[in-house]
Amino acid sequence: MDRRWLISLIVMLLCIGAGIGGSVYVKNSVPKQLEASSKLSQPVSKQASKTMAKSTQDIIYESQKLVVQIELKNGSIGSGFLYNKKGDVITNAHVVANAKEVTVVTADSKEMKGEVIGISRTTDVAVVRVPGLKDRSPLPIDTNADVELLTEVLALGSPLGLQNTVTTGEISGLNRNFELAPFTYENVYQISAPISPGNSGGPLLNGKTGEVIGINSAKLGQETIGFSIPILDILPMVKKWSQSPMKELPEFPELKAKGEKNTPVHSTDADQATYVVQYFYDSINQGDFVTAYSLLGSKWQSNTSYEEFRASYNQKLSATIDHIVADPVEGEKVEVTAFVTAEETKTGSVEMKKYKYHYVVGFENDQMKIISGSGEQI
Amino acid sequence: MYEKNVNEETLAIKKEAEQAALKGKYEKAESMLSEAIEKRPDFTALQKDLTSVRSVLVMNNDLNKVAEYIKNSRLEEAQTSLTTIQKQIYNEQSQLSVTLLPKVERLTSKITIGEINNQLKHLTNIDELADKLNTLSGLDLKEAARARSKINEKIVSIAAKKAEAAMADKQFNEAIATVDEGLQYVVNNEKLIQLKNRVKQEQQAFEQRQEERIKHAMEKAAEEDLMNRKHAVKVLEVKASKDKYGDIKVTGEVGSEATKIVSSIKVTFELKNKDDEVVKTDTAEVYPMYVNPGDKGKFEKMYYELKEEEVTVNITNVEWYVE
Repeated sequence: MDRRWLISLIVMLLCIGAGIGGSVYVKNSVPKQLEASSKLSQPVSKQASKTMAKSTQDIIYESQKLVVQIELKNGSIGSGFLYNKKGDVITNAHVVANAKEVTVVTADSKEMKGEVIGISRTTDVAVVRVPGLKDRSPLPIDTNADVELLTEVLALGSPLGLQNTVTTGEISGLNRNFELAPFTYENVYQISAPISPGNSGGPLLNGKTGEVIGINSAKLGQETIGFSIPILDILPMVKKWSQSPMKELPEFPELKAKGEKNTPVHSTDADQATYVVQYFYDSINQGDFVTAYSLLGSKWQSNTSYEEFRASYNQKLSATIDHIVADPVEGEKVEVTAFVTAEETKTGSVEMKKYKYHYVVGFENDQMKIISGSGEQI
Repeated sequence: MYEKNVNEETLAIKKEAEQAALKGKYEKAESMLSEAIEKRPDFTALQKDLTSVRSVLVMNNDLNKVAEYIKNSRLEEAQTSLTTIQKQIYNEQSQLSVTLLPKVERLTSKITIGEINNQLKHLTNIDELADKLNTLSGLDLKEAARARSKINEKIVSIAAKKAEAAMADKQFNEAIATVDEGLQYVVNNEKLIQLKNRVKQEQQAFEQRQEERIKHAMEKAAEEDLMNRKHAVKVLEVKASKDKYGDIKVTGEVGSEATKIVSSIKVTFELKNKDDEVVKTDTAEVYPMYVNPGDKGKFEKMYYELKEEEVTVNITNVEWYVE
């Protein structure tokens, strides 16, 4: 710096002869030669939009290879899709409930072994690890939370065991909520693409980008309405399972009865409680005191031995319910009031007596039991 | 020549200042640019640069205030100022202002975490807590990790509490389902796994006790049944007497010790003479036909043809039906 100054000074001294006019000219014109733009105030250059729309054909071709069919030993079938490089496949919990080992069939009909490493008790989602799919690049996931109505979508899966079926449609509803025990479906997409049982667990893709936006799930009724669980809602949980697989899987006792599938008789707790009390009296009248006793709750049974219970009916010839009322009360319990006519023997003669009984009926170890009871003669 | 050198220098300073600014050294950039402007006040690019740097400095200060608010848990104020600053950055859209974005993002995350921490004590169900875990999952700060572990802790304790309550109600599968729900978020949690095992043990014990009680009841019922069938009807009295016409009359009474109504009681007996020879074997029906528990019934039979002087009666069999 100093040296430059010195040189400048010498140059200036040499230039003195050139006259003041020249100097003034230099002073005025040289700064004007400074030409540069402010870098800091420059606007941010807009990046060219990267997401070029792919052709639907390309999307289907690329995605299908990453969609698998999942088979259980009991023959039930669902779909799933690869979501990371560890060979982890996302599917529905109801597809793999109560199973650990599953068979996975890829689009090219290769069979592989898979193991359930994570499953939700409340949301219809599970992860199956398939060592044979390790290091394969997974389906891209749409990390943008905004899915709009009428977004074109593709639903992939193997409905009815027909592998590799694609159905097209659009998002026809948002934020749908319903329950299909034991699972709760929150803020799910309703899609116009039909979803059949085998399609369950398959991916819902954005029709333009081919990215996963949901997991196809339940279907209600006979119409072609499908539902899809938003992928972002479950991704953190799913990733956790991939990171640390469950050492022990939850059981789904309610899904075990495969025989009488999906058609539980829908009766209210009050109906069931009425039935239990009625059954209790039927058993008494049949002289089947063991059955009657077995309908009592564990506490009642513990406090009253069978012999005591039996002895309390020694004088009763019959007991018939004239009238019965059931009222649900707190804690999923039902209060049942029964008006009963009893025939009792007393030193040889038979007497008719009327009683009013109050019973509390509720579930114990998943069975409806008569928890407590009290009564009075009327 | 001197002026030309000044030009070169100015350009060099400008470049250096710009680089410093882009690296976040706003103060240094400011002083350098101010110095340069003194030499070349009409160089508009310098002015523009300085304006940018100063505006960023102000915003940066504001961001520091936001950080202070967050520290003092004044989250609403923090959010309000942050939104204003974000708008400014968005309006400027300059190379320099976007350098603040990482800081803005960090502060946004901290506010989110702070809000979650505030809400935590009011959240009492697993579902809501899991929602917060989802919100936190994208955030890569140590505060987020702390909030996550707090939430996990809470999920574990809520799941355990609910499971214990269900277990007290003997609703074991419900208890297991609750524990499993906790485990889906707090995977492989030791406490919950142990609790689950305990629920299973208790369920087994419960079912075993239940089974034992019913087995006992069945045994007792079988005993009762046997008693009703084999030993319930007792002959209380039986006698054979001769009336004034010389006819023999057998009368007797039975009592039911059965626990159920018995019917069609038949008494079989034999009549013996004084030499102890059986002279007649017969069966009499008890009336009434139905005998209630604890009640009695009678029977009677007349013999006109027997010529024996003395007869004794001896019951050989009693039969009945249990209703």
